[in-house]
This record gives sequence, structure tokens and C-alpha cells, in this order.
Amino acid sequence: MFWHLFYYRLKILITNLPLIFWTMVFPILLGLLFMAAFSNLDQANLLNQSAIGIVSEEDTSEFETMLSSLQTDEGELFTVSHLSKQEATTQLTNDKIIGYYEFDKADIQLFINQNHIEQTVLSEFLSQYLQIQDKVTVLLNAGVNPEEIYSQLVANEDFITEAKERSFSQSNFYFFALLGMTILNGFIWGLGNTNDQQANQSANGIRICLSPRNKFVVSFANLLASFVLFYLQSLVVLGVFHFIYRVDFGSNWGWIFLLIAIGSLNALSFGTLMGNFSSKISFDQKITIGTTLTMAMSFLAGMMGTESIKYWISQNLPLLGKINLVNLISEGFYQLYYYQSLQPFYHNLLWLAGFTIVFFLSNVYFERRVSYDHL
Amino acid sequence: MIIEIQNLVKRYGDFVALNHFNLSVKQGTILGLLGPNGSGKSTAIHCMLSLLTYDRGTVKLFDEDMNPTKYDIKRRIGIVPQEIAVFAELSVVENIDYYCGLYVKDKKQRKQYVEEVIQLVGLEKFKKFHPHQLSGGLKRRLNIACGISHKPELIFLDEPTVAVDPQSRNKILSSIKELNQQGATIVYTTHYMEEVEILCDRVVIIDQGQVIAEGTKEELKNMIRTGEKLLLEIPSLSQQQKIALAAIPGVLDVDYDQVTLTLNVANTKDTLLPILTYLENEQVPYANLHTQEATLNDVFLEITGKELRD
Repeated sequence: MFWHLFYYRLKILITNLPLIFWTMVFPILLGLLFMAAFSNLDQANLLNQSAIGIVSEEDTSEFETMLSSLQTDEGELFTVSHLSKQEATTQLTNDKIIGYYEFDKADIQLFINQNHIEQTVLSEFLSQYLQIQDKVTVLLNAGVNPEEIYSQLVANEDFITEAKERSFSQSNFYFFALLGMTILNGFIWGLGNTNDQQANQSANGIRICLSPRNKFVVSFANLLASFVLFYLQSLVVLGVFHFIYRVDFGSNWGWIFLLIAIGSLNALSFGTLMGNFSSKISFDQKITIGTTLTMAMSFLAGMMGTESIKYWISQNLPLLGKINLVNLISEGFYQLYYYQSLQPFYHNLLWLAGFTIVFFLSNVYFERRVSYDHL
Repeated sequence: MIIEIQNLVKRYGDFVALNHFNLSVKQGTILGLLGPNGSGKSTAIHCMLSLLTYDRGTVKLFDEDMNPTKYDIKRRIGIVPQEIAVFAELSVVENIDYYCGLYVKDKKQRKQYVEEVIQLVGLEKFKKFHPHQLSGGLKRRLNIACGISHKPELIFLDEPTVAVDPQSRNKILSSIKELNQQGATIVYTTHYMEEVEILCDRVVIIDQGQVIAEGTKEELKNMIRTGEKLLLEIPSLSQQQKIALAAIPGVLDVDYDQVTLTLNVANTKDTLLPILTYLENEQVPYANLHTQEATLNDVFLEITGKELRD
């Protein structure tokens, strides 16, 4: 019986061409537009080799050694010239150098006349250098073995080396958000399941509810069939993004597949819950509401060039980011791609799984009803 | 009794959809549930099947109290809802197999049942068609096939011939008769009087959630004062002549619509001659004289004061 229901649900879903178009073909086409729109974005963010100056009467070799660890594909990121204060000012004014560091006793100051990504790196480097310097001084004063301090610094260097393997890609970020939206669009599949199995929503539902079958068996067969198909469909979208559009998802493929699986289940349960929630709102109205919600979540997850909003939310309203399902999914891809530690990803995945369980249990609550007040 | 309902009350807020509704149906009957739109026919069926909750009353099917988890009872029931309940993505044969499979596990038996029902409703040539490729009438036949393929003992047909061409209607009606001959008890709701006259052994007239009349067709017709109808085609008739005709003993009612003169008479045998004599004396030419027995529509009109399709 279960397999009879499962088999026919697969058949119904796989031959529902509008559903396949909107939940699979449309995101792939949207990805193509993203490709066209954002292909130059990463190029614009590439770091170029730049000249900088150092104004100092002291020995700055330690500082320069650390600076030389910043590399591009072509070699060192910054080429250093030792200059007098006047030379440095003139060259900065004439754009011969992009900035200079001035050493004055224990203090180091950075001078720049523009604010591009290279200047940001210079500033960030100085900030980290000063932090490390303070840390070493404190540790030495506390009597910590210098070898131990060195081993910590080496560990930090490993971190830098690993992080270097992946440079930030703006277009990847948009594709992660797009894939998040694509997965959440699976709510339409869940909505369709509810519509076909609830007597207060369709004539098919009346027939199914009158059959001598436990409603949970019908619901579970429908859910499993839609999960199998939707999961495969999401993997197809992932494949197109990765192999055709050349979107780099990193190397944690096992976790990526799990994230898509939980995301798919979440979307289906979310759609089922929307369907169960009210019989007074029509199926089409529910699709409109669901699509609007998904678009709003995608917007807040940074998909529409709104990454600054996503960043602001993560800093000021982190809970809003955690209840945004598109954000949870896209953030998962982002964490798997950029972060060295999987800890933030686990945390994110737990939120997503938690929502899935809540949706699932709510559906059980709604579907335990076998008689209705209205049809 | 296959169906026994006592004092069923269903409210939607302040609106009483079923008001102490009572019904008994014997095995092998084709029961016509007649009533205008909104009279409570579908609500009554849905309450009987425990799809809808109700406020008061008892429902027994096959001598057992009905509730939503009585799967043994559900196994013996088939329903053809008013709205076409099929999947657009499945072909004719797949739709029937899907619904039949909810009742019949054995594949071989299911295949046989599917073939039999396709023949019964006359869809042999359309097995591989999808619903969007079928006409309205063929879709209705498919809707019926999906509801009866598992050979239920009790079948609920809720207005199965709405917007159907005459050929499909005839096929549907003959299929229903055949099902009944095979032993099925049928509850048939409609507002097409002629279908009830052709099909049903017993008729229940329902209005505003109450049974207002019940019986065989003959019993119902005997309930009302209208005996027979006498119809004549007349080119013109004055108001005075109309009044004079109404005054003839045995004439109950006179209606003239510019062509047809309709006289409700208690008994044609006693009243026909005086009527024709009067028309000849008045030199009113007439043609196409014929009589008509009282219909269920007349019964409905008489009891409720409104047309069934109001």
C-alpha cells in the first residue's frame, strides 16, 4: 500500500511540468543571469601588487617579514621601499605608492590617500601586527617560554595559509543565497501534498480521506516521494551551478549534501504546514504568500545585492538571521566554503534541523484530525 | 438498513445546515436525495461519511456507528464527489488504478477491477488519455470510475451529471442502474428531476436541512393535489376565457404562456370533454392536445413553493 502511494506520488510530481519549471529550471535560468551580471564582480575585488613605503629610522625587518607573508598569485602583495617622510608624502600624493607606514618609537602609523581594498588590507595588517606584538610582550613579561609563543604564532600562520586557498568571491555568495532560495521554494511541493491529501482542500482529498487507509501512511508516502524527487532536483541545480557555472562550493561535499537534504525536508515540511494552516485561503493564494515570504527571506539573506543588510542583521538582530530559513541554508554553504572550523556550521545546521522538527510535529498535530468542521 | 440516521444536527455558527435530519436506506435501493442548491444534500452525505463533524444525532452504516477510523466500513463505501476528483498528471487507467489501489492490494485483482470499470463507464478508447484531453462528459465518467472501481456495496453519487452531454448522461445513468443490479445500494443527489424519475426507487426531498417529503415517486405524486396536466396549443386566449376555463369543475389551475395552455386537472377523463366543448363554443382553435402526469418537479413546487433549480 505504502509503495503504491509512493509510486503514484512520484509519477504525479515528476509529470507536473509547471512545478518542475518553477522550482528547478527557473533557478537555473536565474543563475545564468547571475553569471552574466556578476562575472566581473570577483575580478574587481582581486588584489593587485602594490608599492608601499616605510618611514623609519629603526630596524623594521621583523615587520617587513610578516608583511611579505601576504601573497598574491604573482608573488608578494606589497613591494616595500624605505623612504624619508618627505619622499613618502610626495610619492603618496603622486600615487607612486598606495600608502606608507611611519614608525615613531613604539607607535606605527599608516598614511593613505584613498580607500580601496589594498588600503584596507594595509590597515588590517597593521591592526593584527600590533595585536600580536602586544600579545607577545604580555606573554614574555608573564614568563611564558618563547618557544611556546612561537608555536602559537606558527599555528596562526597555518590558519593564514589555509585561508589563502579560498579568496572571497562575491558571485559565490549570491549563488549560495540563490541555492538557499531554490531549496526553500520546495515549500510548493509540500503545499501540493497537503492540497491533495486533505478533504477540506480538494475533491481528491475527500476521496483519499474516505479510503480505508490511515492518513499518516498517505502523508508519509507523499512526503517521502516529494523528498526523494526534490532532493535529486536540488542536486541537479547544485550540479549545474558547480560544473557549468563554475561556482566553487569548497570541498566539504558530505556536509553540503546533508545541508541540502535537511534544507529540502525543511522546505517540504514548511509547505505542508502552510497548507495545513488554513483551508479558507486558496491554494493559489498560499503559493503567493509562500513565494512572497521566500523572496523576503532571500532579500534579507543578501541575495539581491543586499549583503550589507544581511551583515547588519547578523550584527544587530542575530535572531532574525536565525529564523530566516533562506539565510540558514545559504549561510551553511558560506560557512562550509570559507570557515576553517565547522563549529558555526554545526550551530547553523542545528537551527535548520530544529525548525524542520517543529514543522514536522506541527503537521502531525494538524493531520491527526480525521473529521473537519468545514469542507 | 444500510444507512440509518437519526436527528442529525449540523451547525455552521448560527446557520443550521442540517436540522434534525433523519434518513433510512434499505439495501439495494437507489435513493434520490433531492433539493435545491444549499439545501444540505452534500452536508448530509459528508456527515454520514464522518468527513464532517456534527453537533447532534447518530449515523449508522451497515448497522454500525460510523466514525472516521472505521476502515472496515469505509472499505465497503464508494464516493463520487461533485467536483471532479482526479489527478491531471495521471492517465485514465492510472487514475483508476491509483484509487482502486487504496482499497484493493492484490495487483491482479486490481487490474481486473480497473478493466471492468473502464468497460462499465465506456472509457475503453480513452485509457491512455489524460484528463485534460477528455470532454466534460468523459471526465465525469472517469470521476465515477474512480469512485466505484473497488466494487463498493454503498455508493454516494453527488450530482455526477452536472454539465454533461446527453450521450454521457445516458451512459452514466445506465452504469448506475447496472451497479444497482449488481447489488450496490446507491445514494444519488441531484437537482435534475428527470434523472430521479428514471433512476430512483425512493426519493427524499430536502430543503433547509430538513427532510420535507419522502417516499416512492408514486407516493410523492399522490401527496399533492395536482393530478394530471392537459396541454393544448392555442394562438390566443382572453383573460375572461381563462377565468371561465378555471371555473369548469375538476380544473385546478390554468396557465397560458401565449402558445401553450396548461390546465391542471384532477381527472382528465371527467374534465376533458367540458373543456373542449367550451373552446369550440368560444371558437378558440386548438392543436397538439396531450396530457402529462404530475412530475416530481410539481411535487417539489407544491411542497416548497419554489423550483428545484432556484
